[in-house]
Amino acid sequence: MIFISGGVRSGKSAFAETCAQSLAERYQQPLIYAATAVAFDEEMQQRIQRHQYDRATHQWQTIEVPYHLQPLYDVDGIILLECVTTWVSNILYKYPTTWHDYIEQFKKLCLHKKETLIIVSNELLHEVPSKYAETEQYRQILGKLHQWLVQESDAAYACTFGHIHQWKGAPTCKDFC
Amino acid sequence: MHFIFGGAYNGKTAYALSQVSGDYTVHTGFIPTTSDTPTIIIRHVEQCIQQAQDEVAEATRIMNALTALCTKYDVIVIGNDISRGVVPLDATQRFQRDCAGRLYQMLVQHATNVTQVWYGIPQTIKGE
Repeated sequence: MIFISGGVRSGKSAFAETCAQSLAERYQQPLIYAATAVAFDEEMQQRIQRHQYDRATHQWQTIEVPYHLQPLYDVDGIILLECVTTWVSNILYKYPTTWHDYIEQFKKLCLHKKETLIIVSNELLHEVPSKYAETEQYRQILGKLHQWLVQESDAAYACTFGHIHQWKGAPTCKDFC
Repeated sequence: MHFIFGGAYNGKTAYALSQVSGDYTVHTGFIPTTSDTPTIIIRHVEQCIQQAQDEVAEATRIMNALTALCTKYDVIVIGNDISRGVVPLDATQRFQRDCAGRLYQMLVQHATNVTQVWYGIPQTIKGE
């Protein structure tokens, strides 16, 4: 498992796509894009379209997993899941009482697909705490999940304006930089 | 002095505790003047910031309290990095954020060891 995070417009998606494409080529595997976003308004639709345009250079099979992750068990290939922050907010809104079970399912999937999974997430823990308890709970859930993902990952990267810093991983992972 | 910083919920306190041998006390958003234990851990040092006229003067006040403590005890200071978000609408939060930046600059300069923690991974910024 490879974990990649960064702020908005940090180049994390482009880096993650490059990682996935290199791995797919090396191991002769298809490319699978696990999309977590829900196009609930026009702006989100545009953001999704921009990501689709960026992926148009390669053959990607897109699987939408805004809540349930089961479809990912049935596919073989290099899976790029993007992104953890939208997925967590989706389940928090839809399942305010049982979100914990979904986090556990997410972790289970990660361990099951450890060999072929690339995970993208956002950095949003470097600001003044929110005065809204819900937002602070969201940040706490994400922080803990990120800690778990980094712990379980083979390689972990932080992207800052296109600069890639490797926090963890074998030297071979540097091939992607 | 050992200064540890990083984002919220990143495992900073767990890392601090892994560095301590012997007795310690943990304070949150508070700087004591004495202690019964040889090691003092101060979490959320950014919460020690009070509203003041001048951010540098306020940061200096906190820094002086920490420096005084260091003459008698092993001090580990933990601070949340709150410097990278959207500018807060609330003036109190803006002051806290600016002052924390000043304070952390002083801490990085004075501390023997400085560590940044990213989701449980420590990175030495200064020291061994």
